[in-house]
Amino acid sequence: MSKVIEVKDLTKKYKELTAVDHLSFNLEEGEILGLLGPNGSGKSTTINCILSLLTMNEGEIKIFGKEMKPNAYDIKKDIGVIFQEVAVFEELTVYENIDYFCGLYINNKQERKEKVEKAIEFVGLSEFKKFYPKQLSGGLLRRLNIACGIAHEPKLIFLDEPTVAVDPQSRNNILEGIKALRDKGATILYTTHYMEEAEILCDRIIIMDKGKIIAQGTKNELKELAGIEEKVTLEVENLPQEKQEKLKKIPNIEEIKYEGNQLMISFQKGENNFTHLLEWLKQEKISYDGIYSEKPSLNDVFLQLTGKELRD
Amino acid sequence: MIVFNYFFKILKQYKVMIILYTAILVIFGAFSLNTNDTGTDFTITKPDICIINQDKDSGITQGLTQYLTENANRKDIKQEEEALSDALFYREVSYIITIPENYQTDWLAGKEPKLIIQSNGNYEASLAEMLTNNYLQTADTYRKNNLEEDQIIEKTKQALDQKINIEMTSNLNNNGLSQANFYFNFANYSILAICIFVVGMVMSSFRKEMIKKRTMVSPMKPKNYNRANFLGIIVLGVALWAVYLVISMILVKDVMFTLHGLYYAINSFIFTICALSIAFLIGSILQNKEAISGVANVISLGSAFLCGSFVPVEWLPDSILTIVHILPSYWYIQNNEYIKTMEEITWESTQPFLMNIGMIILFIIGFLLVTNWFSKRKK
Repeated sequence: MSKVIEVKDLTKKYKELTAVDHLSFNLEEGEILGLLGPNGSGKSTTINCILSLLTMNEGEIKIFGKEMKPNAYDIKKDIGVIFQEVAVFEELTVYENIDYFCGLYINNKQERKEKVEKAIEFVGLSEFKKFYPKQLSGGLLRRLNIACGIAHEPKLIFLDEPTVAVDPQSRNNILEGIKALRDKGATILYTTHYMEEAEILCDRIIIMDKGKIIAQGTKNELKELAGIEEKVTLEVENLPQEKQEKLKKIPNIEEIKYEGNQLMISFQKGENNFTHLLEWLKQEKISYDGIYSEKPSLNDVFLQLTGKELRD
Repeated sequence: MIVFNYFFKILKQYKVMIILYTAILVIFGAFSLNTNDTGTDFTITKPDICIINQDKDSGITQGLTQYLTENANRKDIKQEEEALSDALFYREVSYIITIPENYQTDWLAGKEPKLIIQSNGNYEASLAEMLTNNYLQTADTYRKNNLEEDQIIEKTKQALDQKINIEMTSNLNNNGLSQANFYFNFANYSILAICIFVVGMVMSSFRKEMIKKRTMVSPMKPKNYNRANFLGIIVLGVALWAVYLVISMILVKDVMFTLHGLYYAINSFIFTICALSIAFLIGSILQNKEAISGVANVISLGSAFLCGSFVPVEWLPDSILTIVHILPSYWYIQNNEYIKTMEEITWESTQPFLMNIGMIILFIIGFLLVTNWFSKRKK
């Protein structure tokens, strides 16, 4: 696999504020790389610098092995961008909007027509070709936004939080569409602050905070960093403090939290953690409703690394 | 090419506005065809007067009364103070002449007796005063020559009855030129309104931040992109001018196929380019479509009212005319007014026309320089 994007020591400052701080990463061909981080962590600034929409203060950016510059038109012809905000003409229909943006890349009318039709079908807007953007729902508008960015069939696609303010059904459609793009051979750089999306979609994830990379790897590699094996949650009425102290003595328990009737227990790596817990509950004659176990999330990783929630 | 094509696709959304402004021009242009300004007619008007004669109805008194009766509309008003005041107030008459007792005797004696005059001071009253003075001064000239009263009255009548035929001659098709002038002056409003509104709206769409971003990440070179937009604007302006020229050829064909018509065409073409440069500047500064619509109205209506597009320039106060020198519409309308009065088309007579064209071109250069400065600053 060859490197599609190479970023070395990328730094972007706004006066005193360092929005991106010596960022380095690579994106391999055919990969979906997620930039995950809370709002203001520098994800969009990173994308804008890579695309030469912003001038970086330091660093080096290569795309397809060539230096990326504002006038690197031979690179730009193979790039597609889907911005967070919908970028379409209100005065043009769905078809015309896609045709216009595709036309910025492809001059041949017949070739363009075929690609526009394919893009419309891909995003499921065949019934809405003659609709104007103001006649579309939020979800359909997002799909149009995506179609405008991918109609020319780019090799490299940047998606900057494409699912913000989108209903769950449309979000699922969009995520399925992105997977399909990758399956067709596109390489994707995807920014989001939704950890679930990054987990579902990305082959590799870079977690960013305050303009820096705080962790990167596959989702499983990242979860290793959380330092816990699993989290168990159960509903218990009136668990006295002395019982909570006793509970902490069960092997491999990292932390317990008891809020309301919810008892949350984090286990370190170890064998039969869940069985030990059930035995203890029986032994102490503690009745409970609903018990479930889950693996650590990227939010736990973020919490472990920064001391704050990803959603904050 | 894609940007150029879609420039017109977006422009199509504003076709209703273009049709509306053009329809207004056609309606008012057609309306001007009903005006008749040959410039060679003269019709004398007769003022409404009332004569109260307290003297004997003979001699100079009779002569004056007869002369005024022939040359004015004499009306009988009840000889009461209130009735006379009402007649003046309600403009039933403009001039009331009271000839006092012994006027004839005193006049013949050279005592220069005074007539009692009541007037509402309008132009009809001035005309009546002129008629009265005219008669009395002529009669006085004969009296001073020691003629008999009968002879004075006879000679005065003969002198005042002499008529002179006055013919106002001109080689110009005054009626056609007035109509063409009205049309092209009014076009100032339509051209400005359409150019600013439509160009502003289309530019606003292309300059939306996210659309710009999408264009910047594409392989479209900014030079090609701007060139396509600029070409679109020029084509719009030329097409608009051509349509307006064709309409003028239909409405005032007698003028448009002469050299005067050519001058009107050149003047309107340069002004259209100027309107486009204003539109380009506004489109570069403003993004908000409602603001663009408001500015288009303010500039087009303001220029039209202040520079003489809707009302003749002569009616405007001097202070306004001094201020409006800073507006290109003023020079455009001045040029239209000048074309109307060009008796002969020679190099000499064309120079003022060229000077006004030069002023409009200076405005175009100025607007483009400001736009360029503003765009660089924004970048």
